[in-house]
Amino acid sequence: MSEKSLRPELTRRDFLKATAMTGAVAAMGGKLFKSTTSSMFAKVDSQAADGSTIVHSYCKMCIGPACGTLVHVKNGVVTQIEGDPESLANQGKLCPRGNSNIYNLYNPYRIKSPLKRTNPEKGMDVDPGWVEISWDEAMGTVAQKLGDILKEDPRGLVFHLGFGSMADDQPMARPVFPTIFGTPNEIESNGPLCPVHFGALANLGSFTYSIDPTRANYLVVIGHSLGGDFAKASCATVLHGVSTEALQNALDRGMKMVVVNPHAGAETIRGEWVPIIPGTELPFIQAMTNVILHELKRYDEWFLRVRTNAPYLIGEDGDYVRDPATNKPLLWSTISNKPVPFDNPEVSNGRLSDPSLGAAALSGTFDVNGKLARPAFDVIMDHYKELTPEWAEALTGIPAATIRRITAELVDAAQIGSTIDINGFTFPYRPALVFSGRGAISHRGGANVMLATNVINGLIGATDVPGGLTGESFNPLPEPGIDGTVEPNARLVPQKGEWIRNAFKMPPDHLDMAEFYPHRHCTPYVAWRAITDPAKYYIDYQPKAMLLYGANPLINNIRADEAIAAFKTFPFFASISYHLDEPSQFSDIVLAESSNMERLNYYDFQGCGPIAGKRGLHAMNFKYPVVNVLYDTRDSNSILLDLANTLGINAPANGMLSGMLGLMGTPYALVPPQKYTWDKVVDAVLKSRFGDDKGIAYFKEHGAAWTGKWLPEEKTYNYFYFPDGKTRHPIYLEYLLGTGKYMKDNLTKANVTVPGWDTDKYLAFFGALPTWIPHPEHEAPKEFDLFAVNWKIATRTFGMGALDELTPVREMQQKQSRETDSILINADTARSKGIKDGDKVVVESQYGGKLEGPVMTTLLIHPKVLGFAGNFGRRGMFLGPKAREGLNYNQLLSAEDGYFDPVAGGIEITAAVKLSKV
Amino acid sequence: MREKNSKHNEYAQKARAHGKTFGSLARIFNQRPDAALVINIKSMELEFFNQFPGGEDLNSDVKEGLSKISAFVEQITDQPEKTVEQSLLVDWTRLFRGLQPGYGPKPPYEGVYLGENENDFKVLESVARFYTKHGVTPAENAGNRPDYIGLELDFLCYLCEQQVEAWEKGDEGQAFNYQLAEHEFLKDHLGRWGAIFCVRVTEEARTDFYRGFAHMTKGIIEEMANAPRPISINKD
Repeated sequence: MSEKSLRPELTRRDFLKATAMTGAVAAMGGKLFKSTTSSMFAKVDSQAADGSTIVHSYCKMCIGPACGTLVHVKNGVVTQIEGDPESLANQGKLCPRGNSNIYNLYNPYRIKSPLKRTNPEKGMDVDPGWVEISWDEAMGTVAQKLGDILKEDPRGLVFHLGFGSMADDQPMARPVFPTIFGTPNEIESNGPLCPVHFGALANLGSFTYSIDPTRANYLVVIGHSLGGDFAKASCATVLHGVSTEALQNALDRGMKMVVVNPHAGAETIRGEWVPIIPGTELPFIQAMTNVILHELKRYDEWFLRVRTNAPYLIGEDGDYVRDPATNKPLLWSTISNKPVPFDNPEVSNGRLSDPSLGAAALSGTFDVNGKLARPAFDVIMDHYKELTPEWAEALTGIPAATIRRITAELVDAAQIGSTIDINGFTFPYRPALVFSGRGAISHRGGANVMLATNVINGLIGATDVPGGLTGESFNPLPEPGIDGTVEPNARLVPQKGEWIRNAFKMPPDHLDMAEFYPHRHCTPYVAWRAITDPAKYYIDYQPKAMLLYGANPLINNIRADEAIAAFKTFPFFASISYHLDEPSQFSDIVLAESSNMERLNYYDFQGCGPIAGKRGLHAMNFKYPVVNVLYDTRDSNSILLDLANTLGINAPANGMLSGMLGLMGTPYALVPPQKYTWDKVVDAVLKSRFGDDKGIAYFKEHGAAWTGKWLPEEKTYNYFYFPDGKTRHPIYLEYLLGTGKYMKDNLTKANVTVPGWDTDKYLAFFGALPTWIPHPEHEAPKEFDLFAVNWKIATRTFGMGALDELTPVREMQQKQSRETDSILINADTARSKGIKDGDKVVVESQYGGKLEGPVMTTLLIHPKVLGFAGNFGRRGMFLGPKAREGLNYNQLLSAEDGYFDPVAGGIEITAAVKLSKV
Repeated sequence: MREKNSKHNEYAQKARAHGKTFGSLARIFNQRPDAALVINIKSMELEFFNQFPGGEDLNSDVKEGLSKISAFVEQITDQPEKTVEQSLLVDWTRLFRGLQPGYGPKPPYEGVYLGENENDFKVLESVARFYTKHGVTPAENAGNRPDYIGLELDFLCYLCEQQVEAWEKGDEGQAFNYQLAEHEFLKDHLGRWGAIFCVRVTEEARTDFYRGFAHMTKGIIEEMANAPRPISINKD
């Protein structure tokens, strides 16, 4: 071997040039930096195969993060995510949102470190002049601002949450931090367009409703996406407990599904589609109820008498007639032929095994202490007498004959009187139900739709029993309260006793006017107006700081202009953000949030809806960062716990966490004065469940990411916990009537009106029985001759994870269907208006909102309706062109005072619109 | 391994210069501008910029970069340090941190430039694989995706430092391996996209400091990536 070098020789000129070039840069580096040596790499074994590992984790792309995942990591890079076949919740399946988690991790536009704005001017299209700062500076600034407010008046902090923060594994965000801080202004942006909770809480004591696909044979689903449009891989508790596979299995075994909806979604492929005029779902349900009561005269008398408040005596004022001595509601005993308290054995001893027991009258007029009283059922009969299918046909556009046929099929399928034995326990068996979802209940009067749903299911005995409408989870939820009916959950805030949560108070403390809307799920749109016009809303203080996490009211709610105006009033605005969406644009400080797969956390789900034929999973998911945390980010639990420690409110935080996480009374209970990190909290939870040697380190080493067990099936129906006459589901909602009276009294005493409402119109929504009150879209000028609706699509059910900002996901949506960027119109309607497929049109709503886009003609939409899939068209100019594509449906809507539901807080999800060709 | 000779010293010197060059550029992308950097910039004399050859003896982008940075030093002469620091920090954050699709250039990740959509991750993985193959992986405090421009430059710096070490030991085989790795990494990775990104920075930068460094980075990457493939000095 020769000694000579065969390296390519450079000419002297090239050599000098190269030397000069590197010399210049190196010299510059030497002047500017202390060191220019490599500092970003660590040694690894280069001989190791390809560094492939599979890490157990769990998904967080919807509210209930139940789905276990297997994350494939190659050379420190995540290359694939799949459903974990061993995870009981999803059994190897994963929805499109879950699969997109990889984009969530490697999204190049994530926030990589805390940020501070340098431009004090704020606006959607104003460059904030962001600079990256250290965590010390960021947290120090936030702690100082919040500390001042804590001392002065905690009401000054608005803690604004949204679906981005709503996974149930974020306890520090909801409810711990706002509670221990003491602000009444925990305001949520999620919910106004989907106020699903009121009816379920009122009737079942459960946060949401669920269908029972393991046993239901007949399902009338109104205004809700259940199948492919939602695409759920697991039970994911708060999502009506039904996985797509469970629904498919139900259809495979012969369940009939009637889809009452202005738009034929994916599920209608397997069911009957009944197109309906938007917003008229209540008359449809009421007409079905009329048919049951006054035409078919077939209802579950035993269930009504024993399991509902149908026999409760109602006075002429609409209230329960009560025993003067005990204040207990009275029923008319058909044994002693006199009124008796609800817990008198004559009326409370109802048994499924002996239908003769529980002898309360359902009809008649009785003299009780000199006053006339009737059983609630009798009142219900009268209430529905005139609500005929013909009446409903004129409103809904659904032929009366169709309403009659569907009702008859429902009643037949309910098998009234039948029972089923599950592991030796006998249940009523009612395999038929009516289910009302977002499209039906997001209206002014949406609470009435929920009440009507409760009434009709109660009539056929399909409430919280196998085959019927059940609670979301399996616990003793329907425990009776002092009146013998299902205890209203604290969120419903009736006017009595310890249940008062948002008692009337003047001036109000809550910026979202909880004092005027005591049952509301959330009313952020009112808060924005109260902040900018405090006098109108009787607010006597000025909010000083906003802490926003996972909320985007500028896109996911309506009237972005009002939210923006309010945002600009805050002297200090901080956000916990994964990406710079529209609201983050207003921040003074942005606290950088880690991606889903970089977090150490766990999720405990005690009870889970049906999954592919099984019910009742109790399980726990655990995850830790699947790769090194990419940037200088932290998770929200860590951020908020640190903030609590710095603010000196760690003791109540620890106490609350111990209670919520099941640590109280165990050796792992958090000691109030100590300052914990989130890692320590998770470690304590794991050890408390699995043993002292099984903390984080154990699970990291052994790779187990979940554990779970199935409840015995009989325990998956809440009837099991309170069988026979042990509880009653209220179908006559006396306490809602009571709320109306309570509000009327207080408004009169305080000599005020509910801001923006005529008092009589406001009070009309607080009735014990559902009453049809036309919506604003039904009273719009005639030129607005169509209605606009939208619906969820699989890749954008909650707007979580920045999905519609990520080019690949957005392009997949667009490739999958033209729907996402189009205005859907019935082909016949289009023809009559001289419009062709692909034509550009302008849609203008009765509230002034306008959208422009191409039409897509279809037969899968009601002739009087324009349809919008999802909600796109992002507004922030810095979000890029791809995110700005598509249509922001919410711009067509309004939530003016007087135009939303004063009971549940839902806004009108539809609007009357007119269309013109561009 | 051979006994160390004068050629080895020459190669070591060259590798050291390359290493310092890549290391200097990596610092620009990896390190937030701070008060110390501003003091160092302000302390630079204009004579410093005059020491480098003019005309065709210097890469035109490097020359342009020097000119811009020189201009910047002049511009900030009378500005308070805090003001300069903030303007640099705003520019750095906007140019290199990929905050939003419509805010600054496309973020400086190889996957973003070479992998459209889903291929982004394949590119990312191939970069990570290259690192692993050469015995390193981004440290826990690296604070970025493996295909970030600052990490890729730091990796090239690392490869050059390994060359220096090998040459100083007289280990020609090892030195050649690292030299080849440097060449391949430039050819297959940074050289394919780094200059494109730098052009965008020159268009979007609001300070001549970063505009100047973008020019310099572009010049260096292009020159280095176009250099001939090294051939082992042991080859017969």
